[in-house]
Amino acid sequence: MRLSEESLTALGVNADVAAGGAKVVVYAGVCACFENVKGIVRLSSEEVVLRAGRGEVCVRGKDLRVARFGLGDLWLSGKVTQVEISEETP
Amino acid sequence: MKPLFLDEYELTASMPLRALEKLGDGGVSVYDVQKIAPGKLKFRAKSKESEKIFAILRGSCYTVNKYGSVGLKRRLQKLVKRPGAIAAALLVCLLAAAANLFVLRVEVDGSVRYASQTQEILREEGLYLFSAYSEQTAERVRARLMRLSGVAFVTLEKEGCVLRVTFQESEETPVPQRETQLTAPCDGVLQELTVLRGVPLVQEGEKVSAGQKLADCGEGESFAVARAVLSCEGVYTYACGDAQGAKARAVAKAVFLSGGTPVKYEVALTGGGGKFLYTVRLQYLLRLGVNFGENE
Repeated sequence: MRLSEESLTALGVNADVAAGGAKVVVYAGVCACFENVKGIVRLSSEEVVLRAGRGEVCVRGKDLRVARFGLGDLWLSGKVTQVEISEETP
Repeated sequence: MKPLFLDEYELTASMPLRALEKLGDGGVSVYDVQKIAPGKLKFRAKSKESEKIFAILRGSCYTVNKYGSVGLKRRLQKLVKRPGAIAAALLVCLLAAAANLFVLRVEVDGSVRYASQTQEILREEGLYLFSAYSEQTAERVRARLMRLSGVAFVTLEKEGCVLRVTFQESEETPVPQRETQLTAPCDGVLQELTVLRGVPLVQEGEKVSAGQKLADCGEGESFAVARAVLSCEGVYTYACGDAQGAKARAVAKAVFLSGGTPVKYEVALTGGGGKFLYTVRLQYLLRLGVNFGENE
């Protein structure tokens, strides 16, 4: 998964600043894709917590399943209803 | 996209998710991760990465069991165990390929009016139902079909067991059959004869009878181009109840029936008491022509 560089340009965000943070794309009701995932903290069919970038990403939903995990990318299948990103406090 | 050749593993550890991280760090992607019990995970990985997985997760912290293959690899393994199924599949493929060699149906597209001729030519060339198809025979058939009148292009295609013949007709209208001779429609005297193509058979001034040839296309020619003017005479009758104004109608009828240009006429009236008969003796010029364009 590669999130579009164009979106960063359009928003006027420096790509270097954005690099390393959690990147999330949610296809409503179908799946979600994550980049810069360092590891899986918790795994269940209702909740998946990922360590991504400088914080954690908590994904809630139904029938959640890790379809693929490797090389920093994680594809989650199932109905994603909520994504919560928490930044690590320095 | 999920790889086709995958193996399934079961991982038991106090922190099994940490093991996935280690695999990820080692460049191994895992698929369909499922937590089946506390401290127990089930996942899939590429078959070729099997050794790498065991190397990364060596040590007493992790227990990894390989449960076998999934996906295409599993199907292939199952298939290898059944040589009978492979033989049957090969036989079916062989039969299908053999059946494709034969013609089981002929379809004519483009123009249905060539359907019967097509069937006849196919039969003559040996391409009938249940016969074997060959490119050479098809080419011979195509050449013969191309010679049919009005055909611009023909294609023969073998689609499975169906031989499809597609005609493309010529948009040009065929040249109509042209007359080869000029004949006199009635008795008369030839006043004028112009022959641009062909041979004149009668001299000007000669008497001709109905059906007599005035000009002919000649030997080796396919049509004649000629024009003639014939002086003819005819007698026409016109019956009426009232003589008033009937003479003109009698002449008009005579001219109309003759189909020529009147030169001279004589009218005789007979009868009486409400029953009159006009007899018109008409001398007229009849213009004839074959393949002479508008001047015929």
